[in-house]
Amino acid sequence: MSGLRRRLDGLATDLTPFIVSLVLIMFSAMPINVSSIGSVAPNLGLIAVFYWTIYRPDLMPAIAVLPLGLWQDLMNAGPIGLNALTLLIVYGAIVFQRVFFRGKSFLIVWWAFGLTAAFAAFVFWLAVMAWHLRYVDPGPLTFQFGLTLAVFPFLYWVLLRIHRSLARRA
Amino acid sequence: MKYRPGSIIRLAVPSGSLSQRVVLATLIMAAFGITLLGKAETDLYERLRAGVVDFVAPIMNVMARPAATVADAIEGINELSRLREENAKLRGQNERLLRWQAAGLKLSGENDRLRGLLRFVPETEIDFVTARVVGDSGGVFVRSIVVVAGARDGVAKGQAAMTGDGLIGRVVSVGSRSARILLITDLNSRIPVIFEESRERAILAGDNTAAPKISFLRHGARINTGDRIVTSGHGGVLPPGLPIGIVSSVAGEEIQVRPFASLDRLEFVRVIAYPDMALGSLEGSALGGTGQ
Repeated sequence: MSGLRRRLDGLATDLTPFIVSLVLIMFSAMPINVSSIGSVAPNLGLIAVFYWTIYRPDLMPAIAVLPLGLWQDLMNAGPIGLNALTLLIVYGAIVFQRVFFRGKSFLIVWWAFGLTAAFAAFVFWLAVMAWHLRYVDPGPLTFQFGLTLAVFPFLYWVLLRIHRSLARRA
Repeated sequence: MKYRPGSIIRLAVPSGSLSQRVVLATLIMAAFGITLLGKAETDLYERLRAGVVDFVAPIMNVMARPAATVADAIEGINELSRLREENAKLRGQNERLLRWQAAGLKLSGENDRLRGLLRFVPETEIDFVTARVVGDSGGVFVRSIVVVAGARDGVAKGQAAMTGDGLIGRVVSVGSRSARILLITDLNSRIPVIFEESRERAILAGDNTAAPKISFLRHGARINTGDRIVTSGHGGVLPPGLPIGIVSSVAGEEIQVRPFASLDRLEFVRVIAYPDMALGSLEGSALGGTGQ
């Protein structure tokens, strides 16, 4: 009985990063009705994937990133697959660099996230233009980039809490 | 004990192993394939998306309420500070509107009498459902919203969506209890319009900016800043005469339109049931024509 419970508990722990990312992506699709912000929302999914890829790569394997990207595609209204493609490419960039993040200070992680988010925005922009076969104004994307970067510290703190509760359970 | 995330990393899978790279490359190929398939299977993807959105719409509906409350509170504080000024403005506006109302009633009566004289076929009554907005695209390059009203409420693909101020877009996909509306500012939005004064026809094309542009305008048409634009009803999908916006700038060939509705802060929208009725009335009048 206790064995089953431990197994279920372990499963819950293992799935937490994935589910947290799913929920955050859904949050990104919520309407923000404050006029000054407009309709562009921060890319919360990217922050979540970045965080877990660095700190719990065992719980954020590439195979989990594909459904997360597709989920993001389904939540948004763009062509299906573009977010998935972007997220996987960015994931590849992070996963092979994450040794660099070992024990680094928050400011360095934030800075690295900035680079990652800029790279993600660029890849996504190229993908969108390739899809539509026309030039698309990157303005909203740079706005989203700034917004995502600004939200990062808050979300990092929240994810760190969740992460610590996982570590305690494990 | 001080917690160090680094210690976990060292226990994790060594980064950059060969199998990991192969898996990643395969997944990227898969994502690429899925994207390409979307070019061909637009319909399948749209149905899939409508299904998923249908599933999450109730959850988002619940989450949207507190989000809306917070947004309302922020707006409320902003508005409080402008209350006095607003009040004076509204008084003035109210006075002007009362004068317009008197003029409107007079014209409406006159219109009825003239229609009677001409035996004009009356336009069909327009039916609509009002729905809460629970999601916006969140996507950077798409301007669309999700509302909690779907096929079971009578919403169908192609129908017009508007606020009290004017047209906001068209329904592009429908689930049983949710629907997605493509806003007039979206890159893929094309709306047949007519200039209210000059009766020039054109197409209003979105380009992802806040101000969509006019295209396919007759060469030599004279358009001025401030001209009102309404739906033309051509194509039979949207009812004619729905207000859209005014011309905000004319620079050579490029004419920009500022929509009446504030598209960046939609909370409730009306979806207008029209297409079937429009066809019905068309048939009716055609039959009437042969009968005479």
